[in-house]
Amino acid sequence: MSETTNAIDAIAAPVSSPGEKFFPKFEVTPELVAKAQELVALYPEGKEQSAVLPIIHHIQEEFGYVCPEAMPWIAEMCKSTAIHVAGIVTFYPGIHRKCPGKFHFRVCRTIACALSGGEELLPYICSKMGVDPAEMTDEEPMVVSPDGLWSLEAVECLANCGFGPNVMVNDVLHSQVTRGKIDDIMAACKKELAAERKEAAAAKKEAAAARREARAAAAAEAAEATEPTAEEPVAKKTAAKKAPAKKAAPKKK
Amino acid sequence: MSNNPTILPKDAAAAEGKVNVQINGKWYRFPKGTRIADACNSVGVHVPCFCYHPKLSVAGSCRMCLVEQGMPPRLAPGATPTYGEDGYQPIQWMPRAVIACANTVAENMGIRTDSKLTSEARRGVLEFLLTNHPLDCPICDQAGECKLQEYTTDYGSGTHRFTESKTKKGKNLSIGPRVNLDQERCVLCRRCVRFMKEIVGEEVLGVVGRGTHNAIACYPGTSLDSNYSMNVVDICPVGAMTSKDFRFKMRVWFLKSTPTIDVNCGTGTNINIWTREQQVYRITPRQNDEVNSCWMPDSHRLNYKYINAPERILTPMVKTDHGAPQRPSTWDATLNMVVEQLHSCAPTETAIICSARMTNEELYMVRALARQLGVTKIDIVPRKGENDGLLVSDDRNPNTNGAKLILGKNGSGLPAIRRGIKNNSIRFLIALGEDVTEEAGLEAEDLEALDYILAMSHSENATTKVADVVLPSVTFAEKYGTMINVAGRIQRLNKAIEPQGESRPDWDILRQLTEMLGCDCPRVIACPSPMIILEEMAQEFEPLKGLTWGSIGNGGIVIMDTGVTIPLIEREKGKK
Amino acid sequence: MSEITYKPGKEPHPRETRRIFRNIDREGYDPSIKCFMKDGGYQTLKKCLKMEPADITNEVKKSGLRGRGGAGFPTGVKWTFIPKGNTKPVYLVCNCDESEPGTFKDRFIVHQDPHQLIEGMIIACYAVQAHYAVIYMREEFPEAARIMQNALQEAEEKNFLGKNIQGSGFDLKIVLHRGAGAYICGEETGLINSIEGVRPYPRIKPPFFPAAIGLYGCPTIVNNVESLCQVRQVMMMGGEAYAAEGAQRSPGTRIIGVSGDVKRPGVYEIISGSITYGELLYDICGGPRIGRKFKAIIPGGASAKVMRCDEILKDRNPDGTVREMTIFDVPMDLDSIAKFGSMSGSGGVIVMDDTRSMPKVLNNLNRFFAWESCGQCSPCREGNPWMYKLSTRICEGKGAPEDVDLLKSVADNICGRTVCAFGEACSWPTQAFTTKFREEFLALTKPINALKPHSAETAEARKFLTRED
Repeated sequence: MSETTNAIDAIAAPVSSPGEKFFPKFEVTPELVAKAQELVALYPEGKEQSAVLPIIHHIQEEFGYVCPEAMPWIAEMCKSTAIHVAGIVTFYPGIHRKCPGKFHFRVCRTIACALSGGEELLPYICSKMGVDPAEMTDEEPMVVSPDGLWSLEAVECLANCGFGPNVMVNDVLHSQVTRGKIDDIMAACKKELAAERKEAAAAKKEAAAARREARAAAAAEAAEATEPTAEEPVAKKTAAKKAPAKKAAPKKK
Repeated sequence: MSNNPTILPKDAAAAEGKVNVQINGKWYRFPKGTRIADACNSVGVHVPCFCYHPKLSVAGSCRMCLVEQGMPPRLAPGATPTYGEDGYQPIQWMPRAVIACANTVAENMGIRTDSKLTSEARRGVLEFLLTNHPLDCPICDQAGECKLQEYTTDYGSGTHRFTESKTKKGKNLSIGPRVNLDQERCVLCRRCVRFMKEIVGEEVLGVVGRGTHNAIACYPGTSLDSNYSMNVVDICPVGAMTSKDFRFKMRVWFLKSTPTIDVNCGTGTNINIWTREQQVYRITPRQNDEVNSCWMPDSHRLNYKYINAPERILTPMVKTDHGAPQRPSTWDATLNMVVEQLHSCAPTETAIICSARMTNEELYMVRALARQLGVTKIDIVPRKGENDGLLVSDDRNPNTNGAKLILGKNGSGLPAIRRGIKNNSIRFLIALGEDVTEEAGLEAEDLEALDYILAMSHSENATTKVADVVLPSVTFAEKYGTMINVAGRIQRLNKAIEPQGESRPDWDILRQLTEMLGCDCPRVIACPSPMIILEEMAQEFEPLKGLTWGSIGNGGIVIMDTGVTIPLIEREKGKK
Repeated sequence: MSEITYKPGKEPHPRETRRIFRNIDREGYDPSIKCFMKDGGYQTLKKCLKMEPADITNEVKKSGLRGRGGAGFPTGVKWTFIPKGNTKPVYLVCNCDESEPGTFKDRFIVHQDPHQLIEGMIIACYAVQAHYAVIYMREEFPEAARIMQNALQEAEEKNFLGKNIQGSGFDLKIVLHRGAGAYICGEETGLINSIEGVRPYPRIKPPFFPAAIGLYGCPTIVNNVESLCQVRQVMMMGGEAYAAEGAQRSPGTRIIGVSGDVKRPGVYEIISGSITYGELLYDICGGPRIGRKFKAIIPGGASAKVMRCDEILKDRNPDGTVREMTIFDVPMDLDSIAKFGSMSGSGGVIVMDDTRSMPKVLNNLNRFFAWESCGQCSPCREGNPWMYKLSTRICEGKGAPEDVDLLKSVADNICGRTVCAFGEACSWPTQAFTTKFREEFLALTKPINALKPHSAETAEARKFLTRED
């Protein structure tokens, strides 16, 4: 918490992060409400509060993190209170109150990984990402690169102790990670991003073409009303979830 | 086993639904299901607790109440227990201390609070709590009634070993209109969180963060604004929750507390008034499980400022002529004047509006006055509000039942009096303890039209301003008396401070006036105190039969069945 | 089982007995229900559904199966703790939080063989008559969550879940609930609170013994992933046959995870008590790395007390004579190591060789525990950061010799005084490290440090107390 915000306001103070540009902004849509209701329905009647964590997970998947506006909404969905949800959000380190980068690196630093050099990877990854290792503290172990592409978090045990150091990148676990492997992973991430961007650009082009066509057709067909086509939310699509890694064996060869 | 053929203690105890427990070497008997902490405290063996509160769910998290516990040895299959000379089984002490708040007593259980194991556990827990606790006792409002301070004195180590930097948290946070929070002083007992959730039913407080960063908080944009918020200040064992009203006003050890009752509604919440040198500094609830449990509403708690306010009338005030301004006078002159004036008021054209805020003893004197004057148009002013479903009664008069019993009035005669005043059939008004321009429904012009107004009041108001004579009486904090709450419980008011200025207790003013008007009934004029009036009343009124000031006690006695209950108390009883 | 082949480089060690891990890294094996059923999956369940629930419980009791989550409580006995005459719904929760550092066995089951767990769970649910069960999976297993969700779907499609399972009249719904990165959620009552959607503070026991008052206030059985898979194994083999194998008091196979300074770290399934720590570390794991020597072993997950490899342990023979041995001679069952003051816990063996600084290892553990303390009860909340600050200071060379004793004393003050077993878990390492490797700690300290301020505040305050010329 910063010196100027009081400890209570800090609970719902927005924390800006460059990672936000890769995720859509939190917004309550009918789909989101439907999803929340579906999650609530998994639990016995009257136990709506159980769905707090599942809804939080869904929000993190969609929007990258749990922003302050989301907490009262979650409370409403789970028939709980905002302070209750805040108590949960601030408890679990797996719940982000600051948007991570597009590629979120979690480096295990607990004993077994530490014995195999996990902690030594941190400064290297920091320098690769262009972040200041001093920003990582025991209280706030996550840092985001200025371009929002990367984020790094020192975490405790990833439960793959025999094969350390372990690093999770988004949902994929990489084990026996070395500096070289970090280079490869980051290169692959960049490739993935480029591919996604290309895809998005193509989709955008396509959409623009379709729009042009539609407009031309509309202009040609009738002169009465030239209503603009509804804009395709392509931008959102690019930022949407990284494709779930298909074949990520828990343990790399 | 001894040859003693008499019954074993365990069987004797079982016969009465109890169990035998050895506490610090002495055997006691407690009902089954008693918590160890309650059992120990009930026999004078102090068990320190932070998180445990008898009215809240058990958290068991502060670990302050750890005690050494032992049980009879576990028997091998087929073995029979052995009993000593005293009829008890030997106790096998466990190497691990248990918490006294969550565990209940059992047959042949042993508890040691004076052992090495217990005292080391206590010292350890206190040391931990102090590691991150700011040592700002000199400016902390809680100092003097702080559990952390007390326990540190009693069980702490006296030296400190923590030399690292402390965890920083929020300080002096306004979490509600009446409560401030200091997260660093907090010991995270969560009493406040549980109180708001379990008793008030509003989950406005919660714990945020994790581990050493755990802190009590409310969600930004919400606040602890419940009408019961200040109870968290009472139950906070440390100075984390402080009252904005009382903040930095007075060191608590200078205050004297007087047990009495609240007069803001018919519940008659039991309270303590905290005073120093004729000044009231704060009011706190006093436990009475039949009336208010351990709680009270903020609205009632903070309604004490008028006691020491400049609006208090400190001397009798009289108008020498009908149109003249009021001027201060002496009691003798004033009362002589009042007697003269009252003698010239035709009883049929006179009305008395008195108050269900008066004590039974005062109402008794009102009745005597009315009889002496021959006035029959007399009633109280009813006050209705909304029942909050907890402790605030819909009857906002504290003694409606007293008025019904002693005067036989419940306010139903008030409209007739009001009509009489408006149509001039009533020309003389005696207003006792009521500003008749308020709930009584009279307008300024109605008072203007009256020929004579005698007002008795502790503070200035619209009625006293236009009255011909004003007799200064006292507030509830300055007098003795009894009141009957909505549930039919008679309770005592105790004097916490002396009457301000030259004001006098209402009963005494009325008594003297009645006497001066010519009353010679010894049962009225010879009463030297409210306690004696009570005895007089006990002769006359069936429900009060046999009552004395002493027999009522600090908890009160139910004397009539009103059919009315206090919602919070009913809920609490339902939980048991 | 000669027909089973494993992926190259993943073959089991000859001293292993693969039961639970039969299909882990198996060539051509995938997590689908098809693959599982081809291999005989769900046959045990079908058999069990024809039995009386109480008979299953009896069979599990007979097997002597003990929980594999760390505490080693007999599984069948746990099931019988559901109050007699209970009318509330019964819940079963599978603890897949796997959060004890050094433990990494359950991850293989849920990633590679999810149906084995589901079958075990259904059998357990049927035995305790639970119609609603929850798999509590740690957040760090997102992939496994997808695999498991898919597997649950498949099982439901084949009517192993849902209404009237296989015509038995038994209904069961299993919900996957993901945690969010908290060690404390591995504690069963913390886990239950996490499912209930409240802060995962462990509950006080009494009165909150889960089997009596658990999830939503109803009787709840919480079993570890491996335990539930073992239940299936018990029902496959029969309780008596299961009990006959391995250590008498902890029969069956055990999955051991070895991490740290050995040549071949990994997970190994062995018959309980069939090998010693020495055989595990030298034979199976290939011994220490070249040119190094084993120095210390944490035998049962990060919270177990560390053992010195050169420590002489004294054990009593059946004839009363005293036998001297080292940690390497201790058999790998649940109880043997307990005699020497440590525990076998969840089977996570962490090995340190002679290049390691013990204060640094402890400091790493202290950071973990300070970070993971839920903060509910005072000793743990305040004691853990204190221990971490002390060990950090000692590691940085800013400690005084007294600080080592203070560190130990702080741990002593936490141990046994907290709501849950975290109090022991966090204090045992400090107690053991500072006692057994005291000289290493002392070597890092200087007496003069006792006089120096250790915090910015003290330094500031000292300014006014000392004269600086």
